[in-house]
Amino acid sequence: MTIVMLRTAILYLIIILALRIMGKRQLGELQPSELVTTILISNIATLPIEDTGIPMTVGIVPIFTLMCFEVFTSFLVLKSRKIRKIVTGNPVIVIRDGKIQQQELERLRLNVDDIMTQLRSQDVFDIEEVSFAIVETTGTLSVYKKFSAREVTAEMMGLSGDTADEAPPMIVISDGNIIEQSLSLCNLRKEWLREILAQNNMRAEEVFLMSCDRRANYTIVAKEKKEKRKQR
Amino acid sequence: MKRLLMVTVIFLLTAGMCAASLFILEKRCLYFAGKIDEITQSAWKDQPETTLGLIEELNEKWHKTEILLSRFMRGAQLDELTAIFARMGPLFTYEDKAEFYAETERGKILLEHLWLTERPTLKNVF
Repeated sequence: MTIVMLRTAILYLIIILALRIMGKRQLGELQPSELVTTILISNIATLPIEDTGIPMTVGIVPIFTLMCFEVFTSFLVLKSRKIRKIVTGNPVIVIRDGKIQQQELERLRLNVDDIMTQLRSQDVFDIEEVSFAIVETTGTLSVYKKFSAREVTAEMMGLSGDTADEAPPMIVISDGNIIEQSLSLCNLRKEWLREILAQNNMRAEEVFLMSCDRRANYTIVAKEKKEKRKQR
Repeated sequence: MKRLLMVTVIFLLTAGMCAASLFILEKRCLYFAGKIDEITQSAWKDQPETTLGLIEELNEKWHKTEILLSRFMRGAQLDELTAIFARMGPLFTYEDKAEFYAETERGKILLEHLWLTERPTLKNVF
């Protein structure tokens, strides 16, 4: 039992390492090759855990080999259009200028229900609203709505913002720790932060969450004080 | 590029480790097959002390080799060889010659089989 537990812990760390090396692509939407790699790695990792007669290398070597091939493939896909076409395929337009491309749907073995499900997941309930719809290589559907169905933008309203509106609010204190990178992204300095904390009679360690934007608008959530249990 | 470099190094290390494991396995299989031949020769020549000494040496060396080989091979195959080598001494001591020679031959064939099944040939891969 102890061996099983130790092997599980070691393989867990190795899988985390492998996924980190393979990069954030693995954590987002998966290409077919990435999906295959992920499934294989998870299945292979269970072999030495289930059977202690199998050496650890029977799990570790295939995981590292798959990880290496995944990174090599993604590098080649990046550099060569031909290889990209072979490995990932091309996105397919299934709705063009508001018209459903039935032959493309048939080629992709998608039916009307599949397309409507994907459209509804993107808050499109009327197919008339769609100008273009593209099935990506990951299998997801990207939708470009007709002008009349698009959400109103500031540009349409003739509103103009300033550079402060181009950056989102950032977390500058997380669980008592100051994140300096976020402060610099908001073009703010540590002195400003200290001043704000002083105004609120708080120290950084007492802050659960603090966010701010480039206009120096901020939100502070203090840590909850743990109540002492009443002694009986 | 850094990631690609890191992965290339990991790949080369993994491939190197696999090659090293094959090299070690081949050398050890040849060594132990040779040792079994020596034991058999010594038994034929009716040299009990030499034979028992060689058998003890074989078992000691096998014990260390087993620990090394178990890092990259299934335990079941190695367990069988351990059992064969462990039996050699008592079989020879108690003069069960037929069984003794059968076990030595079995040990040699098993060692050869071990190497043949671990080699990266087309037959083994597919």
